[in-house]
Amino acid sequence: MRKSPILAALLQHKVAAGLIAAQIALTLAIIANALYIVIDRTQLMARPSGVVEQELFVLGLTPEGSAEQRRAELLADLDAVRRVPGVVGAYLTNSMPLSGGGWSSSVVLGPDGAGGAESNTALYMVDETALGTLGLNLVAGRNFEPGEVQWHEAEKPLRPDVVIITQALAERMFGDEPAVGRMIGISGVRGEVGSRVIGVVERLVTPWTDWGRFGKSTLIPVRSDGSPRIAVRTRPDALQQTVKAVEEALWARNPQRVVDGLRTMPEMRAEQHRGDRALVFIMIAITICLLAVTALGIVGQASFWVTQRTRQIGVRRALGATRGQILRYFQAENAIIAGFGIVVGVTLAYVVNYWMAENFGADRLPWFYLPIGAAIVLLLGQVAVYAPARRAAAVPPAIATRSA
Amino acid sequence: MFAYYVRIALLGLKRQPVLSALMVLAIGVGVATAMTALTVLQRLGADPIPHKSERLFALGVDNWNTNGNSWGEVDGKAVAPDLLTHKDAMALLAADRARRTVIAYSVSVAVQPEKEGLRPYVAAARATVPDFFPMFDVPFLHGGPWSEADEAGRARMVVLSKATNERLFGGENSVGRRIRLSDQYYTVVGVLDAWAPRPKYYDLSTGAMNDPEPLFIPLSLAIAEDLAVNGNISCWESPGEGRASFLASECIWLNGWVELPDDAAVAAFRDFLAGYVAEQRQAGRAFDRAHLTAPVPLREWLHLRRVVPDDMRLFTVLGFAFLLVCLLNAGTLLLAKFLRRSGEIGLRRAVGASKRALFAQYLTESSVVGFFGAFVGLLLTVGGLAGVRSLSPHWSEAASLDLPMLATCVVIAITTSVLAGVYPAWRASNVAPAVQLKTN
Repeated sequence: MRKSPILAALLQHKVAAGLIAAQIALTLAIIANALYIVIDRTQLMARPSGVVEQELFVLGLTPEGSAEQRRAELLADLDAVRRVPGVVGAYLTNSMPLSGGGWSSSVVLGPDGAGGAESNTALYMVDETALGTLGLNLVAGRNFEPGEVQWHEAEKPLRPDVVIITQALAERMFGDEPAVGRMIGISGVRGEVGSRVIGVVERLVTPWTDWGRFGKSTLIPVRSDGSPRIAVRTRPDALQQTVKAVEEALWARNPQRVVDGLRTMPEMRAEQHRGDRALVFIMIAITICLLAVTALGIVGQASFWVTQRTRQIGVRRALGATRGQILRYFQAENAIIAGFGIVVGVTLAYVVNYWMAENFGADRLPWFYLPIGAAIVLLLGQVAVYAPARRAAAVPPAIATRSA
Repeated sequence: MFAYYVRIALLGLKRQPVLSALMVLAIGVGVATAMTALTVLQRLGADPIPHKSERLFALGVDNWNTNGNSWGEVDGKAVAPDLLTHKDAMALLAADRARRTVIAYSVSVAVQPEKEGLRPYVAAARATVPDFFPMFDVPFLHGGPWSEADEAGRARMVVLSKATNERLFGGENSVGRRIRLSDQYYTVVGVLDAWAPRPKYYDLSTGAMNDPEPLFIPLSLAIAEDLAVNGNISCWESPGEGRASFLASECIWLNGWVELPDDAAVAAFRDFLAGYVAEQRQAGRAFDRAHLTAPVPLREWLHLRRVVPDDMRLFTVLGFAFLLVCLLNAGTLLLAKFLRRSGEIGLRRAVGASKRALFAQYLTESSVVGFFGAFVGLLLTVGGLAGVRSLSPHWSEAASLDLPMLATCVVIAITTSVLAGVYPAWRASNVAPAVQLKTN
């Protein structure tokens, strides 16, 4: 099959072919960017938190009275929660991963940044049972001991003597060197590097999914009586009924109390990623509709050309062209149009992405999305043109001899 | 004549029902995608208080100095922090250099209902000065704000939202009654009418699309009682130990607004702030970027705080790119459709129809497709908005269709199809009569 007659025929229909090519170009530009967003956000949503999400929930308490009364109340509440059937572990805390709210602090190795790396970290108040309750994997050092867990004096900055950090934070602060035994300064108090790293956990993400330091968390052996929460781990598959039982147990202790912000980890994860999921869904919907619309345009245009050229096809068939040759003619024609579309589309996709990166903080499109997008629109064109091309191939040679 | 064209157009559409339906559907889907995105975008970006936004200014005070760095950047330019320190807020409130100055923050309190069968619950309360209500045009159902004297005297007074009044008092006029908040009794002085500005422009730091706080209490009282802050506290240097040093620290946690009636007032206020910055520098505070300490117009403030999420802009851009594809698609299909009828066109030309008449007729046919497309597009937009509502609560309030958007939808659909139809109609009207009569 020579290309020149196809090109010649296309030049006769510059505008029609141009319209199709423009559609293909735009389609390519849009789906390459949309696919990238879908994959990027899907990966974002799939990032593991490091905890046993399916078995965890959290609730907030508002103890009243003096500091002593509040602390006694909280410990009694914690004890009551731990006794509820179905509860595997529970501890007092300030925040949970993926919860959207919590504490953060800078981390330093020396006064005024001297002595190396600085980072930021999420702070989780825990006790010695938290590692087991959350299902964390301790990869170096040791857990807290009961005697190390202390109450936080509300008026004072946090200065824990010992901390456990995540591997991500350890790598940021100490590189390849072992972190256990090293000193760090937390809670933004310059010139004070008073916390010893006693352990490193493999993974524990921060409360905020859109934070640049998503994996960098620090566990501190502290209890607070100011807006405290209880994190609870249940037996597998007993999350929902245990939530109810824990709530009832707390109300049984004091019917006038406030049990606030009760949320399970799966709920928190869904909530944190709601915007991402919405965007993924919208991008998939747009991609599907777009492919359908573009295919529709190709089918419509090709069908018209087949009708328009029925006599010519008949003549070619009468002169010896096989059905396969007619079929391939239309397929090749579509491939050429798509080829033009792809060249323009790749450029356009790149420009669109550059513009989005400049204006909407989108990431730069990795190059391989362009050939993927090109392959998709090329395939789409071939699939769409197949039916009209088959109809063309079925034109009997005898039609050449008939006059309309 | 137009009615005749419409009749011919309908006949034309009926001749190829599947193709026509697909064209209508394609335009409908394109219009719906663009319209859904545009509606949400427009609502998110809407002026929350149009009659007054010109006169409302957020207080930008740039006390920030993390290793010489600014608090943050927007569009590549340094911006002032979104909140104020206690000492700046109090100084500006006391200076009283604007028509109204409002300082506020959000606290959480335990609401302890006296009514049988109601469990206590935690609620956010806005701690603010009485000028908050007239400044933001907050509507009252009963009573009104507490007085300036009550504010100065740290009176235990509270204004309830309409919903809270319904929950606690069954909706009756509760002015003069008492409620218990975190173990203290407060007297109700006012009950609001329904009020839910979107975005919640007066404090974006606690969720731009959240409802306003259900309770309002005096600012002086909340600070004196050290009620739990329900929002962000950010510090660039350690606040030190104790409440007094926290209040004197560089930590930011309060929201500030001024109402300035005209340009002269704005200029005067700028001068005042410039003087304030100079004073603070003398006192040894950072204030490195003096120009950032300024009244920021409400609309600009909303832009700087990224009230419209980038994801939403992205969706809108792709939505309109999609509409463009649908336009090209409609153009392709209309061209094919019209040229299929070359024989008929040739005949009509031969019996005396002018090019203009044919052009008008085929453009009418395109418009009819657009009209149906608009209808389908409207239905799909309603569906699309419902979809967006179910997907994301942040966009949900924004996602409803109003009359101007409805009109925009119809205009976009018909413009799209007419644009798509211009070239095909021109080609159709240029069909040479003789050639067509000969070949067919």
